[in-house]
Amino acid sequence: MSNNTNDTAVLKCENLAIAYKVRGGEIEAVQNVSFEIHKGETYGIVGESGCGKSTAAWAVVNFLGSNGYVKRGNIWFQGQDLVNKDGEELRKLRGNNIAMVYQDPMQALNPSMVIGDQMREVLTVHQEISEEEATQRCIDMLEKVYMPDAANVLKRYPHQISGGQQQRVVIATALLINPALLIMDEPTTALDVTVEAAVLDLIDELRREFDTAIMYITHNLGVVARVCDKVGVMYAGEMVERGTVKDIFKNPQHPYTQGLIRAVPKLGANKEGSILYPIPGRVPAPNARPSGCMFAPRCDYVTERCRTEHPELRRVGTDNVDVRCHLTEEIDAAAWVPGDNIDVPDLTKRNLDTEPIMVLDKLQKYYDVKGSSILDALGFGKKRHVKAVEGATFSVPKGSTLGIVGESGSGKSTLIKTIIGLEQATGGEATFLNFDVTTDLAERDPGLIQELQMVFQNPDSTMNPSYTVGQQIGRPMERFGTVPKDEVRGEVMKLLKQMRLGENYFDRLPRQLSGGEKQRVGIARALASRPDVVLCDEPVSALDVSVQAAILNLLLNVQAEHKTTMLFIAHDLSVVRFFSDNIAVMYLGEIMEIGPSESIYAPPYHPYTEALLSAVPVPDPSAIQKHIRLEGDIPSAIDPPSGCRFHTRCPRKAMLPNNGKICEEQIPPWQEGADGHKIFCHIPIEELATFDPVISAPNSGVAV
Amino acid sequence: MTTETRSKAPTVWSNIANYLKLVSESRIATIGLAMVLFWIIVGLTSFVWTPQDPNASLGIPNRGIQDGFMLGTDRIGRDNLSRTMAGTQVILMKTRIPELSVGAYLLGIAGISAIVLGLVALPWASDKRTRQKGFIGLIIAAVLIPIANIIANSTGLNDIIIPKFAIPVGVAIWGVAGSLTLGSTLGLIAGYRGGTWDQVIMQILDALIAFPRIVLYLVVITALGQGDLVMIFAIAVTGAPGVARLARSQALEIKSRDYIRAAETRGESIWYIMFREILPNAIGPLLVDAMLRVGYAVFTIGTLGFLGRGLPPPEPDWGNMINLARPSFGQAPLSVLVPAFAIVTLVVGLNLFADGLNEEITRYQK
Amino acid sequence: MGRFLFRSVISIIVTMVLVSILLFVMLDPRDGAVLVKILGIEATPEQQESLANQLALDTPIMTRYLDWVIGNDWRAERLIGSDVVLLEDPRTGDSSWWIDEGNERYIQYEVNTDGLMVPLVRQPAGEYIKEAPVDLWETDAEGNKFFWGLDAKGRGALWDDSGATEFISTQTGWQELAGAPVDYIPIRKGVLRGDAGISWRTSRSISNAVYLRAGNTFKLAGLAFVVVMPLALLFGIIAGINEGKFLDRFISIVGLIGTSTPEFVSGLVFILLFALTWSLFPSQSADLIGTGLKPKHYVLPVLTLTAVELGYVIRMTRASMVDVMKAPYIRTAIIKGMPYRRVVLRHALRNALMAPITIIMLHINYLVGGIVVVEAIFAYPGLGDYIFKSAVFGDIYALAAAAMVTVIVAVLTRLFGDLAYTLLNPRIRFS
Repeated sequence: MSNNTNDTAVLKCENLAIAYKVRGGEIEAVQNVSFEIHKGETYGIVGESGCGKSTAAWAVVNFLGSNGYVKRGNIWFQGQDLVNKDGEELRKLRGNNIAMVYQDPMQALNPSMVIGDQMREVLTVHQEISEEEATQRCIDMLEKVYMPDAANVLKRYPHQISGGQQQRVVIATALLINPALLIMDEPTTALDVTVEAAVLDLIDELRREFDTAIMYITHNLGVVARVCDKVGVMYAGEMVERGTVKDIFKNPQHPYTQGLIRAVPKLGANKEGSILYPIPGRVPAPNARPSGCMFAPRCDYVTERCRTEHPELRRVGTDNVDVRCHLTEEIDAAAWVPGDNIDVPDLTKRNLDTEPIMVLDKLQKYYDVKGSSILDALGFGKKRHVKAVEGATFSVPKGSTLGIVGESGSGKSTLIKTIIGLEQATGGEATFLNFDVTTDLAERDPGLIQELQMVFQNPDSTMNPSYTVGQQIGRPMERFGTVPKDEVRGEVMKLLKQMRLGENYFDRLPRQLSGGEKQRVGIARALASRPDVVLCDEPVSALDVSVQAAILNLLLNVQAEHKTTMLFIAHDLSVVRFFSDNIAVMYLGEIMEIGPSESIYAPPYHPYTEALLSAVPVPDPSAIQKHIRLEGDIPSAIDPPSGCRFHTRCPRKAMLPNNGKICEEQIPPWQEGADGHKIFCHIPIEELATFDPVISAPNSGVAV
Repeated sequence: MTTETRSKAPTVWSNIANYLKLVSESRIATIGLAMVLFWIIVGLTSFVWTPQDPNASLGIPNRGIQDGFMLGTDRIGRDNLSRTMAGTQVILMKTRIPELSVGAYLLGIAGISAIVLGLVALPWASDKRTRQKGFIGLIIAAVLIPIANIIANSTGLNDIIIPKFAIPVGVAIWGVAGSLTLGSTLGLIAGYRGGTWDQVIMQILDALIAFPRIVLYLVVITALGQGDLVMIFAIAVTGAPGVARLARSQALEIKSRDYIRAAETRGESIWYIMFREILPNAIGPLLVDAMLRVGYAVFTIGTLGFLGRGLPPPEPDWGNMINLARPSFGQAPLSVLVPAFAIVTLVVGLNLFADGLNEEITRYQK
Repeated sequence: MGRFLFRSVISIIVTMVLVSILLFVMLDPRDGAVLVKILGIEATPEQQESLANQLALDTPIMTRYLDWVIGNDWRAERLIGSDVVLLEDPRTGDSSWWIDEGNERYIQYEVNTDGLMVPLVRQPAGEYIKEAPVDLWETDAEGNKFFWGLDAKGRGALWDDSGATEFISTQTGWQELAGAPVDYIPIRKGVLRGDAGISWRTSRSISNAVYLRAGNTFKLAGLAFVVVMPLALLFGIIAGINEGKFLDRFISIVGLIGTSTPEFVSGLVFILLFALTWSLFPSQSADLIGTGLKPKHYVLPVLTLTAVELGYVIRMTRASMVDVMKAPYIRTAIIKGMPYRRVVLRHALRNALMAPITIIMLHINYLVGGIVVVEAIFAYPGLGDYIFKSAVFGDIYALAAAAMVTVIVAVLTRLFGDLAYTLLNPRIRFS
């Protein structure tokens, strides 16, 4: 991609070590990090949370807080040493040459300044540029990042534009100074997949146009595969492997990199090919790092040497790959088999009951919205609703898993909240074993409440910080009386064991657990009342990839054991594939497509499903993915588009006569395909079936 | 996964030990605690020993430092040091229950029961499942006092007099405990239930908060007369809205957590959710705030004492001491400065303790 | 915005209604302690009863509440059968109620020993002349004679022929007077129309006193506000951007000690130093009601208020500034290479002022509270002093009226605070 690697590097870090002073000593958050980034090159820094990726970036901009400092090593920027520069010089250098974009664009923009002021000052403070000229340049830059109505956006406050647009503003601001180095710290993590895809396209395009060097920090291997030229993999504060993206994805050398790639959900060839293998254990805390190889405690190939001798980064083979491992030459990744210490789900076709345990018919949930006029305050205003869920119809066979996929605002969370009774349905029917479940919890019988339980998204808030693990898992048993009082402890121990947590976890408090462990406890708590149905609200989306896989596999095994029915929410299609029996795709409160999981990933697609699939970053640089991008933002659910709710953004609308006039006027029909596969679209299913598959992997030739 | 030594389930003692450890890690909190402890020790000592009898005129009036009167005498010759020491008692150490009839006790018990029952029933009433029970409870609470009144008047209970006595713990602390109970319950309902409950409760509390504090105290004391119990009531009522606001904001924040959803999907009662799920996680900031409130209470009792509307004699009251010494401030400044020193150091100590602890808790939670 | 204002106004009205009920119910003189206070400890039960009747304390609390809020002149007019007006006595400046018979003829009545009504006709100078007695008795359904009029004190009064007596205050004490009315309506327009009746303590119009004294108090409070706020914001911001450093600790500790020192202590110390020892400023303002206050009279009260208020606002501003300086958008600004001064002034300040502004407005409340003490120390003729004296005397209507004024100030400042917050915070302004 870039051929000017012989120039001086724009950024060069050598043996960088960064330490934070804490009470009673200091912690070395980052050590032994070396890499260089050249002009026009995107360098990915990838790793799980707590591996020191962001710290390295903050060190480059000298923003380590009052207690952090560069302990060893050098940072060279265009041949100048940044470490020993004083504040004012650094500030000037930074303001003129280095820009940074980070995770949450809403947080990064000043809420009480109009966007124009925040952008213009970059030009006016550093350079002698008049206000008018600065404004013009801001407008030009915003147009370059495809911001609609650029001149107007300058007069707005950050909260008045959408998240995707905010990130465009941040990126445009960063590019205004035409920086030599652009640091991006998880710039798309807070965004929806379709928005993320568009922003990633933008980054790639800008890199080509401006020839900027980009340091791209992410935890997402798919994103690395899509936008980076080179990549450095970080683990426990160290860089363990670096090389070109192609080489590393094709032939990862370090066991950690290999493990990561095995743990990432891929839109791979088939269902079995998408099984995820976790890496056992967890990233050691900075003050508890092993003395030998950092990865030794979790490594499948560990030897005595790994435990005692710290490996150095070294060049291996003929590839341009450096790796920090003693055993690289001896490891054959292709021959890897999962060890005994990890769960692997049994995907042999289960015999599913056809008997549905839960049936939804046109279930509807509207929220009232309060207007802001005086009439509304008096109660005379026109009644308006957020139409969060509309016409949800499906049935879930006993013991099966239904995956529900949708971006934010799709109504997927509202749907399961309504089923479990946290919200009261405003219309339609829903039954669970012939019990009505349209009412809210207050009107439900304890016997019914007990049968529907939930696993939550955020590990940090799923457990009450004031109670021990044992108390929290035991509580549902006491509450529903499923277990006699004196046997509760034993039963909790049993569940802990099932969750692969030792008995010593019984008396631990949540703050003593890692994110993955908290999610395990959350699952145990949901299972404690022996429910028939467990609803999972993105239980792994906040976890690191290596842990995600473990939790998903655990869920699958538990399900097999208890014959539990699961509803599983996810925000993209990559995670749910291998364990869902059925998948429903939601958009703006409506189900767009539903069917057996295999049929969702192959034509005929609903145009929205097709766009979603095309947006997911695939962790394989060689995969060929169709390029479909949705325009505009998701419309408001208060006044959803008429006819088909997707028509305002549908890339396939033009296939219908009159540029899809029918989509704007009529509610689409449910078209049935094979095996109960249903698509909610005006375009005839035969025509939808003629689309090419979204992803094709050249090496396997198998189409999805 | 690392195998750690088995940790014990947290107990009350380990929680206290935890907090003490936090305190010891903050220099500010330690200094504050030392200042507060100093006055607690002084107060305890004053029960058994003071250099002179605090209520007897033994020295020459309005004299400075002299033999036997380390910090001078006030305008009728009482020992400033002894009086200042004894002044700790009514604030921190003991509450004097006056001579009252059995009928009055009956009324008082009915009043407290009505408040407690009301606080129990109000959350019930806000929950669909227990609404009926809740409203019945509220009705019973409302009629308790009238019934007690009738009983007291129709029988001879008003004529049987129970002599005065004192109960442990001072006015400032009882008062703050009262506002904590009242305010946190109301705040938790408002925050957790939201909607109409929130609006009604906060509207009523806003009416109380709209009074300048000292004015509300003056109104209460004018209405009910001076006395330890009235002061406790006044502190509780004036403090409750502030506590409720804090408890409400805590509840609002905590109720969005998933573990609250988990409790709801278990069909837990509103009581369980409010007091077992939310309160334990909100108690830290509430207790820190309560410590500040004890400080305000000391301050306000002093002010009222100065205005002559504070705690009744014979026990000395710092504010009142200053008031009495005021005309001769020029000749005998110590009579003003010694009790002033007591008020300032106690309030500063409580503030430092609360601030330091707060800083540590925030750091600890990160 | 419309909705916000509408809701605020509704909320203020509800608050005021609640506050007025609360005040009235709490201060209701249920055990006659007030009567003892006015009559003295040796008053007989008959005397107390008569006074309760004259003050209309024997009517139901609901009636008294309504009388107090919306007035009872209309009720009196209905009973008397003609209009009544409030006229000022040019000799004393006090006002009294008169029956308006038209043509500038205003009368009150007296019942003489013959049981006849003596019209007292008001003269322009304020005094009245007695006219010839007339028989104005009416007869009710049961044949009893009665007459509704205004007595010589301007109170609505009901006479009958039973020969009731009343106890009135004279220079020598309480006197029994025959030929008195049997029932009274102390006429007032009600607080809604700005008339809270006559003070028991001073026997003068409550509203006039409150109006005068509130003016004085607002001068003092306003001055203190103007001194405290800029200083507090400045120090708070300085402390906030130097979090954890010596300057921060120093400002915080000094502020804390100031806040923890009661006004009566700092006030006395200031008096000792500046008035008694160095004679720089006067310590008392009491004798200056007529001649007006000079700037030097404000120095010590304002200084005292500043000492106690400064620390509190510093604390709020500092906390807010510390929070804001940790916000990611400040990080953005620094990384954009903005000079530190610009980061603080342009990026941090506005956001940092948002949170304290509502609290500062709420704090005016405490300022008014603190003024009670300051006015007592410096004998400053303000509202706080009036509240205090009314409270000590048990003059409940005066206390309630003055307390209502402080509450109105509090809710209005809170509204201003909310408005200011809205204006500073674009997120609310544009939603």
